[in-house]
Amino acid sequence: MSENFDEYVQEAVIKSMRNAGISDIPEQVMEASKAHAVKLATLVANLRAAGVDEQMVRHSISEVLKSYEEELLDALLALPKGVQK
Amino acid sequence: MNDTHIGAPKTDDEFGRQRALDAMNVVDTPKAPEFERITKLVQSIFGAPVVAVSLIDRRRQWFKSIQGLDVKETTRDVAFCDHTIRHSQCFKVEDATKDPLFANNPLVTGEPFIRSYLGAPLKTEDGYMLGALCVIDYEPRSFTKQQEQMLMSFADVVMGEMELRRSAAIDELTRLPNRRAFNDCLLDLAANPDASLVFMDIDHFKKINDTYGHPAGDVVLKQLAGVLASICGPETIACRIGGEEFGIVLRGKDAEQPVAFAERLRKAISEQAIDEIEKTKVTASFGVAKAKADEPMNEWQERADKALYRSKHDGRDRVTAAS
Repeated sequence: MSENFDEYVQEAVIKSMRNAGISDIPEQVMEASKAHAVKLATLVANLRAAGVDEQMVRHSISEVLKSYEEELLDALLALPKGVQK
Repeated sequence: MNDTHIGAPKTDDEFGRQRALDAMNVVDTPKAPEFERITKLVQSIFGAPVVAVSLIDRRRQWFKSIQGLDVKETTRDVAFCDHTIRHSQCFKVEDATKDPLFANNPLVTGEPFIRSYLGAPLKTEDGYMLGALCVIDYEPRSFTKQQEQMLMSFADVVMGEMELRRSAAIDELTRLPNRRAFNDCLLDLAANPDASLVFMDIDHFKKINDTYGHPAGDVVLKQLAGVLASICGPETIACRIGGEEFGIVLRGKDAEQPVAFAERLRKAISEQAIDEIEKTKVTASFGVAKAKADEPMNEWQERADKALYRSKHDGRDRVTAAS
């Protein structure tokens, strides 16, 4: 498992967008996703610093990404369709 | 007292904190699998019997997710997490029975007999501590600095997910809450006779866009959103609910005289001078409806909408109160 957290989060974003049937992701959601990748990287560094074994670190990445994907899907499905210029 | 309180307290604005929590629209929402995943993961990593995402509401702590205890909320006065939100870093209690602050706490002297606690604040981007991600044990326990950092990281992840949900309820252009937030707010307040609803529609907005272009139209929307924000009281929520439509849910002082509120807004808007449209006068029309006890939400909205239609029909730049 590589440690390109941006890539992981982008994959989660793309998957959620597909599931939500959305083609254009709102800018604020994209910004939040970038910030999430940074948080994920910090979490992994802190897990290792606390002596958590690699198997659990990998499991944590996987669970946190699944959690993010679920939350993102909810957020995308809740986007209003009435706000248009 | 052998616990260590890390970091400087940063919570002297309880009103702002509560407002930030309310804006998050998360309290009293159903359990969500995404937060269950994280609390289960933290439980496994810490080997702790109880892990929770606790939000500190007005007089209670409410659990968005909790592992190891079958409880939805407690009163705020007994909540360990109420202490965590007074710090910007982790708050820990290694043996509650020896800590003067907690030795007589009913959650320590009685069920579930908490002995140790580690909480990481759930901090918004604005710096408000809404609650905590906490680890609870029934035995005395020490926590290392590294474990504290680890919990802080998990708390950041939880908060990031909450912020994500909130960001989907904000209109990108005006930064006002959007229709989703508006609908949530109406659901909360329908049939509350102390609330009022104002619909506002910018007059001839299409003409502004056609004449000066969409970027200029965007400036108009942003400027009027600023006017709205400056006029609304602390309990009133103004939302952009459509292209040039705004919904304002009045509570508190604003709700006592909703027509006067709308008139103030109408006047303030008509006094705006916007360079991007060569200072062309911008006006708006308003429909106002006070909520009635036992009235369904859709009927409340319908009355405000009809009043707005009447304002448009009668010549625009005016306020009409619903019957």
